[in-house]
Amino acid sequence: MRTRILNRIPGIEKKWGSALASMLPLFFLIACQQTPYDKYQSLVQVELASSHRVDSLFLGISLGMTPRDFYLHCWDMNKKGLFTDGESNTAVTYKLPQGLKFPASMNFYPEFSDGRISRMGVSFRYDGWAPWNKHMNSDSLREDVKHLLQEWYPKGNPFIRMEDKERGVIYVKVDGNRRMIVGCYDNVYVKVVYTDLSVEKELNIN
Amino acid sequence: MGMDSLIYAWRKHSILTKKIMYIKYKTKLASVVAAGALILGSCTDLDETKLLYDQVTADKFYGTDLEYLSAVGAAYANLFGSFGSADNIMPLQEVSTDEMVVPTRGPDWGDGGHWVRLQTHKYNSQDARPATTWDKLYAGVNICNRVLATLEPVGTEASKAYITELKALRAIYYLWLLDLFGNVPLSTDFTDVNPPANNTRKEVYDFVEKELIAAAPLLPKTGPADEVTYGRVNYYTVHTALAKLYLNAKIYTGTTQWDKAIAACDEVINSGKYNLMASYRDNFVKNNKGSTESIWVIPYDEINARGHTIPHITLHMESQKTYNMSAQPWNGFATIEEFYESYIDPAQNPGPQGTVIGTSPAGDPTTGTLDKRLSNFIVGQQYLSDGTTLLLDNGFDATDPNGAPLYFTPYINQLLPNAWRQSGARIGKWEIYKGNNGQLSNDYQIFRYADVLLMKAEAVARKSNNWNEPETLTIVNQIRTQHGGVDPFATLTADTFLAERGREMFAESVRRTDLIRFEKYNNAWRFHEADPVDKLGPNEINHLNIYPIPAVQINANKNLKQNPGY
Repeated sequence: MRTRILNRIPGIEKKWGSALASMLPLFFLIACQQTPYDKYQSLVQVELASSHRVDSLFLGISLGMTPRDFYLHCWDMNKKGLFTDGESNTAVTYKLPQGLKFPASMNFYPEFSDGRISRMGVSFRYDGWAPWNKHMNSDSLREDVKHLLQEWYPKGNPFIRMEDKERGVIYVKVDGNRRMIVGCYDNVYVKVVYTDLSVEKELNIN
Repeated sequence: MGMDSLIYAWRKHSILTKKIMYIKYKTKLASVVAAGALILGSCTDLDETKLLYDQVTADKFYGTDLEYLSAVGAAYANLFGSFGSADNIMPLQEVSTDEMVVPTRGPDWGDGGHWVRLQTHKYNSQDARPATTWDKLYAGVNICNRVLATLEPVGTEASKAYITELKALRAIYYLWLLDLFGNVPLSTDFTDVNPPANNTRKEVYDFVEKELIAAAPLLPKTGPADEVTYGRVNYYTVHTALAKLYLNAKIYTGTTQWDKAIAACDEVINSGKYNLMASYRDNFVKNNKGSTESIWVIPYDEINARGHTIPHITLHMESQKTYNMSAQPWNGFATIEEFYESYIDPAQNPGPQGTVIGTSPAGDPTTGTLDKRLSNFIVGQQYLSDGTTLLLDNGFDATDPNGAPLYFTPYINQLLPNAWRQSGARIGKWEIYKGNNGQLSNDYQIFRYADVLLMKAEAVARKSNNWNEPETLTIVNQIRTQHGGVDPFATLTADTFLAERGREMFAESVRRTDLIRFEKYNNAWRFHEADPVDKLGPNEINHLNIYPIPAVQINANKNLKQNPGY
């Protein structure tokens, strides 16, 4: 696995890949000292260098979709009674039929770059949340959502857990060009942001 | 259905904060923009954590006014979409009345029947709009509680001022909960983990009154031109809220409070800060920030402060070509024929006569009253953006007498299942300017001066049980002549007063409350049969006059009881 990854990095010949593979124990040792953020950075480098594309998001929506395709798909799902107009008419709502501890909904809407979906913001919320239903606060929901996403995306790299003293826990998963970040937005919402890293990379270069 | 950027919705807290910051601190704009650029621009380094969070800690915050505003701004940002969209307060206050309807147009706007149930008063605890509105209002309460919990330990004079403002705002969130749902739980402590039982409507009323009275003297007596408080709660906002509370006190508690309602209105009227605009329309144009009637607004921006979705929810799909919109409208909300007729019918609304769009199935032109407030509607033939080329609807209904040319008729052939695509006068109250994206940048007046004047006129009349009180007639006729350009009334009745209030306040999310107060909400009108009589609600009102508590809330809190009758 690791040899394969190393060989994906441009400029690394196969023989060097083998040599580097022999140094894996040293890498493991270094890796043990890596912070989660270092791990994340390394993973992004490797995944982007692989040119492996992972565009699938959820419910038939994918990175790279055109606005027209997105609208037609949502319209079709609306007619099937699956998607409805979302919060303040600024998003699409999907009521999760199962998968979380309590009935919940997700609100989403993409960002487009050059006429293609390059980013998707999703907010999850337990439908029964209220100021007094603390067991439905976002810190519980975050773990629930992470488990749900693990079911939705069983393949690829695992979530990396990061912790910030002030901001709490976030989870990051990177597969090819697709990155997802899971975190609490406030005490109600869990926010998941999907990003097409290949587009981000292009934007940064330009 | 709604198709706009959730990313923007998520960023709305910082966006309103930025807007308020801009309003108050123009000189600090550069730093605000710089901060915004940091938030928006640094993504691949995982600084998206900055996008993910909306949490502050008192020890590292509240060092500057900007930081206070940043925190308090979240409680205001929650208002985006509460008024002026199909999602929250506006549909509950409008679509359940004789003023607005969302017909089922074939495959469009069926949505499981909840729009029809709003109009026919068959709503239930599973329906979408009561639930989303409950969520929106308690989200506002929650943000207030959360920020208060971080502000209260600070103990500075600055923090105390913001605490007062937040408590007033929270009281207004409760005023809306009180009006819409009645027996709602009072939650004021962010740390409280005990699932509460319902409070009675009277208890909620008492809480709102107490909090508003306590806050009022500590709030600035600024006017509509004061940028510092534009979009924020001030002294006059609180008194307008009190006026609304007292005007409806009999419904809320069983006891009238006409004197208090008059006194609250007088605080606003006698301040000299507000005046009726010479032009009614100027209250609702894109750049309406200069309106002298704005007591409290939501400062919308179609890019940065979204949620004013009137073009989306009311215009026909083909109207995109009229307004050069970057997004396609959804062909939903319209007014009801008889309500439109109350403007053009000289018997109901005497005034100068001229050619208007009539109420026949084809919307044939006819002679009627030229009330300037007909700008509230979009009717008749529609054109491409050049203003001369006929706009065509190639998907027109075979039975629609207008055929392909897109022609909005006040007449609506049926509520469901096949209302004609072109039927219904559309909401034109807020200027729908060319090039919009389905949203509007027109600020939405939550509280407007003309409303305060009409509340005063009504309270005076009700106090003396005489709709022809000179002061009442004077106010009504001032509004009629100045805003409508129509003839003054010689006499008034409760019905003619309500009709006048309807013409003036159309689409401003007050109609349901008005109909309840005038005992008309349970009557029959087009598309709505008279409600069965009952006295199950608080103070023996019809149970339909408050909405059901969402079932999901009842299921999540065993101490919470459903409103009677649901």
